[in-house]
Amino acid sequence: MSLREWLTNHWLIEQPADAKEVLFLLAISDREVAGSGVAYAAALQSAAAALAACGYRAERAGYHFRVIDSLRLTVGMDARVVARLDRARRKRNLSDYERPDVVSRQEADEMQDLAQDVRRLVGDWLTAAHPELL
Amino acid sequence: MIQRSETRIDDERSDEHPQITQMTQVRCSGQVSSRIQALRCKMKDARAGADALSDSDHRGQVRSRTKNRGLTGLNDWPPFDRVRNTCTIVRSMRTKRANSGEVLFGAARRKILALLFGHSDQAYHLRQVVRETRLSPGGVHRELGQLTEAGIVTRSREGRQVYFRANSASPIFAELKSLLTKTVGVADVLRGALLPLRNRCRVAFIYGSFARGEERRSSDVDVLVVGDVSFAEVSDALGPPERTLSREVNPVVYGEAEFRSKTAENRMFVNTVLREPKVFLLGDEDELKRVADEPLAD
Repeated sequence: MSLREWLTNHWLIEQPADAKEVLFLLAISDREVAGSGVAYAAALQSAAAALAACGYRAERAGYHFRVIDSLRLTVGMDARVVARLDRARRKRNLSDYERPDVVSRQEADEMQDLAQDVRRLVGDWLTAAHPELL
Repeated sequence: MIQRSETRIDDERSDEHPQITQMTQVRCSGQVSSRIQALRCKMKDARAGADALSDSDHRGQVRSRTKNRGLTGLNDWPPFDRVRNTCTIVRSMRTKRANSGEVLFGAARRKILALLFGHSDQAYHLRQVVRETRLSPGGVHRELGQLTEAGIVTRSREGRQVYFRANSASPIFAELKSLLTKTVGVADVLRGALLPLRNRCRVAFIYGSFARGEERRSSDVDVLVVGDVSFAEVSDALGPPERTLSREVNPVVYGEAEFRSKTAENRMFVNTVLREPKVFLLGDEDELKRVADEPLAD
């Protein structure tokens, strides 16, 4: 599938790629990664920045799932890494709604590293594919 | 439990040349080169012996022994070196365990029961069962007929479709479901997926609705893993089972020290899980107790 097909399925909304928005999302990602924020949120914002650079944003229904999954189509992320991020998404749901301490310290540390990797990957991809937005 | 190391031929030639398969089923630790050398000599001797045969009866015996394998004589077997050098032999050092599910149920019944009892709140029509189990329609039809007759599966008609589902009113439903979960169902699939990590995992088990036998169509499978493994490794290992089971699998991964300290601190999640029913994938209840009770390092 392509982002264009996602648009046809009403999973995305088309919008002009806006440098301001991309930089804003990356700034949130940086803040979350560097500060005490949730690593998953940082990865999500990085993924949203890549999607915005392609001229899309995700529909509200299934927003988190779609934005994380779009990393395969935007920056060409390995499906296994996307699956790990998706597990982190589900874990966030569990932690928010069912079992507050379901995330282990080890998992939080790994997620922090993963979020940094995603941020780096998106940054490198933007530099190569959309330098006009930076 | 059968423990053996095996070297297998990784293509259809293993059926063609059972002799080679048999010969290469040797312990691979240190003895490999000497055994391979010995096997080479045996092959050489056997070939030389066959070449030297002038007695037509003896040739006949060789032919009849090899005919069933689609070969005409010893010379038709590929030289061992050639097979090895073309990488058709793949050494796989693994421990073979006797699978209780395989012992208890035949292959077709196992797959059908795993499907129906693994999604016991769902009804399937015949073609769906065929598609999911990849069995022949005739085999599925026969198995479902017997299971329906025994009251283990119910059969209902909706319009032109006939649906089958696990019979929750059966007196053995709960026992059978629990047995299937532990042997051929979800647990078996997950156990197989985590097996490559077993040397670094102290325990792994299913908890939550699946372990309690209260899962629904949309239920995830909750898995807790304790050991020297990363979340990424466990996540990657559990990817294929998710697709096989058509269920989301949600692992929680703890290092031993963290698990021990959370148990000692009476942390809510860990303590709740410890009290709840569990289906063990790696390790057992005793091992879990040992992990939880070992003294904390300074």
